[in-house]
Amino acid sequence: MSGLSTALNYAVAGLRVTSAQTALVSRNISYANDPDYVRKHAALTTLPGGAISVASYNRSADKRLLDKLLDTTSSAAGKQVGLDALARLSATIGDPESDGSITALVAKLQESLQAYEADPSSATLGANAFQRAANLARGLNAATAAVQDVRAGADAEMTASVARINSLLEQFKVVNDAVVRGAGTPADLTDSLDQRDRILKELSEEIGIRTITRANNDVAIYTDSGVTLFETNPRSVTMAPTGVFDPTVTGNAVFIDGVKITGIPSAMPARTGKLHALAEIRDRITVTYQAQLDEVARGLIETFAERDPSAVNPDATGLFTWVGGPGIPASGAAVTGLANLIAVSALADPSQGGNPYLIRDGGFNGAAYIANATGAAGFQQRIAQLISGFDVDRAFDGAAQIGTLASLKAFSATASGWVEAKRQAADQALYFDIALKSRASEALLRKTGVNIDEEMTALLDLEKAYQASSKVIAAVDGMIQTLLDVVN
Amino acid sequence: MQIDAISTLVMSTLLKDGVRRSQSLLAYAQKEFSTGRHADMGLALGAGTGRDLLWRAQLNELQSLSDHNKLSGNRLDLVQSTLNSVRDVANTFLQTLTGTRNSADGQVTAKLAASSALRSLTALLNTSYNGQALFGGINTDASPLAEYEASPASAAQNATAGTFFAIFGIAQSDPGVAAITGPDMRAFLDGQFNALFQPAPWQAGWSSASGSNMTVRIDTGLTIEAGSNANLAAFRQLAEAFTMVLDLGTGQLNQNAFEAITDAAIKLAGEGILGVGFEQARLGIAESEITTANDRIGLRMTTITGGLGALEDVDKYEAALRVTALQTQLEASYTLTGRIGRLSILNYI
Repeated sequence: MSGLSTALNYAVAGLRVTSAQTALVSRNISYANDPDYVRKHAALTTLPGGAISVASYNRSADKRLLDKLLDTTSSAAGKQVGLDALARLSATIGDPESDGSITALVAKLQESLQAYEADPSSATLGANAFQRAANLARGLNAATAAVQDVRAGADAEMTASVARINSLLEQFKVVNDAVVRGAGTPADLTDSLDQRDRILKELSEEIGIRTITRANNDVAIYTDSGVTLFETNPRSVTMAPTGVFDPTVTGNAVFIDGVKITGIPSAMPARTGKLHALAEIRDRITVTYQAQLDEVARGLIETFAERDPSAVNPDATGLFTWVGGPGIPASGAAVTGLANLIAVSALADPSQGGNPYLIRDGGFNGAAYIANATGAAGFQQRIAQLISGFDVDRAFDGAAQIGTLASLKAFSATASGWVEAKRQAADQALYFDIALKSRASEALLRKTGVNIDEEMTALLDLEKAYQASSKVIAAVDGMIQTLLDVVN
Repeated sequence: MQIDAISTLVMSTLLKDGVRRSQSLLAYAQKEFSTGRHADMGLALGAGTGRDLLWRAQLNELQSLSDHNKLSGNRLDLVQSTLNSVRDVANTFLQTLTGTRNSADGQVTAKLAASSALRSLTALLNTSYNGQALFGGINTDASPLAEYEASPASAAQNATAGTFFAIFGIAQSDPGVAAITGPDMRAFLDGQFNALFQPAPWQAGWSSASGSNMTVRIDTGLTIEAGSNANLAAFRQLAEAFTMVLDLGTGQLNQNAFEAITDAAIKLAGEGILGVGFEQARLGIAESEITTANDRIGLRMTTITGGLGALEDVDKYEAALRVTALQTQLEASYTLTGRIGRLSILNYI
């Protein structure tokens, strides 16, 4: 009799295990399309007395592959953000054919001056030259606005990124605590572990991270530069947002628990991830490009500056002026935000009652600066001097990072080339990183993902096992019945 | 043999990524095929964008130089033909003077010829082109010479009359001029009268032109003087020759004084004609410099256009092939997606 009841016990345990496994298969299948879901499987054990039971639920996780994915995710997310920002900067240049670049506007101004030189008595040509100069000044103002817009956008995204990191760390705390508490108990922790990995993946988009697993499956998170982000408790990541950007504004640095991870200088700078890329854009690339625009503006003011023919008065600003006018910015030293401050003098603006002949004669700063002493209508020297000013090598600030001696036209063209070179490099690097990331993601998914065909096959096995156990119960039932019948 | 694990999601992700990439490449290839240029110029050229922009700026500059050179060429043509006319006027005057020197009614004919020649000279030197006075130097806004015989009398006319009266004590219209001797007249012509046609009095009394000529920018950083002005010695000599015959009492002079004037006028007109010829030669050199510069500019433009093409253009044939290849690839991906989607164990159990 004990043999039969033992058989019955085994069969019931078998049914229990089989249905538990079937539930697992069903769970696997329903999450088959969730990239954050790791395939679950049950570990079976034999209880004292011989019955089978589910000992624990396991995941097909792979920490090495996950780490690789986290790395490549940070890198690719950062490059993508950087490329987007560079594409917006490149919009200030456009297709060379469209003649929207600063270089093209400079060339247009020079062209109009050449026409004016050929017929200096023409008021129309003078007004045309003024118009082109005004376009150029506006072009520089607009480029500055675009650059500052990119900076403001980066700052806003950094703020959002910091908020997201903090929120993810909070979530991580909850899930990690659940894992630590459940360690050593038979509780099913697999969903919490999935959650924890998902949070890490999301976190790695914002900032490059390293993880260390400690006792009780507790995980600590560090940035790729070694600053602690999470250890038992989340560290607070802070950045004060800057509302409005102009070229003189410096964006605020990001701190983790008081350690500066962006900005210049920073002891432990973040190396990858969105946050790092955005800080690079906000604090370096846009600042350098702005310096290049500022230097173009300064070169223009310098080119159009007036000289007192009697050499009594100091040189003063001419057609192009700025808030510091009539003083001329020091040669070879960038004035931050000059591209935003540059304007054309209203004295030569026909629509404001100005006199475009000032371009031909000089005298924006009074009679002492008039180069055309006799008032000749065909006076060409001043215009000729302006035209050659575009092609004369002049000193530029090394802070603009594109050489210190160049002609105005060559300098502005090089500035455009600088942006596009950065964009091209970023695009190629991103292409490479995306390939790495999708390879890492694929490798991880291969290992941890659900294969529906396999699950279905497993289901067939389980069905058979269930049928078999049921059959055993029916058989035992039959035997007991037979026995009872005999007894009766 | 090790068989890697594979999950259902990987298969669809791989296909999705492939299709997305092919589609974005296809959009680029189509644009490149239709325009013949890189779809995203900055991305394709990188640092080369700087060179591209600079070349375009240079092309712009050269194009405008070449346009202006054509205009300058036209202007110089007009200056040359005007100078030809000036020479014709002077030659006609010379011929007339040679004939009238010894004839009885020579003085009247000579005076008429001088009057007409001076008017012609004034009109020719006042020629304007496109609103610019051709012989004004850089004073392009005003006609350089005023009409000599005018009412009220021109400044130049007053100066002549004043100087004449200061020396001879009578007006040119006074019959007493018949008493002026040949040597006296010669001394007057060489002295006080000639002084009226020196640069300073000429610019005060006759000409509002500037002594500085207009320049032409014929090439990047190269300007040449390509214009003339009414202050040129040759024009002053011609005006002097015409004026002395016209306005020093001709008609009532004795033969000796008239011969003195005629001889001086012939000599001056001859020198003037020579001077105009030199001026024409100088402008001719400028014209040929402009032509040479234009040829040079044309060559440079061809080179730069070629360079721009090499930077910006894509091989249309290659782009077309790329479009076809990508289309084929996409179609294959779509077919594959369909097939793999149908491939499931669910269909067999």
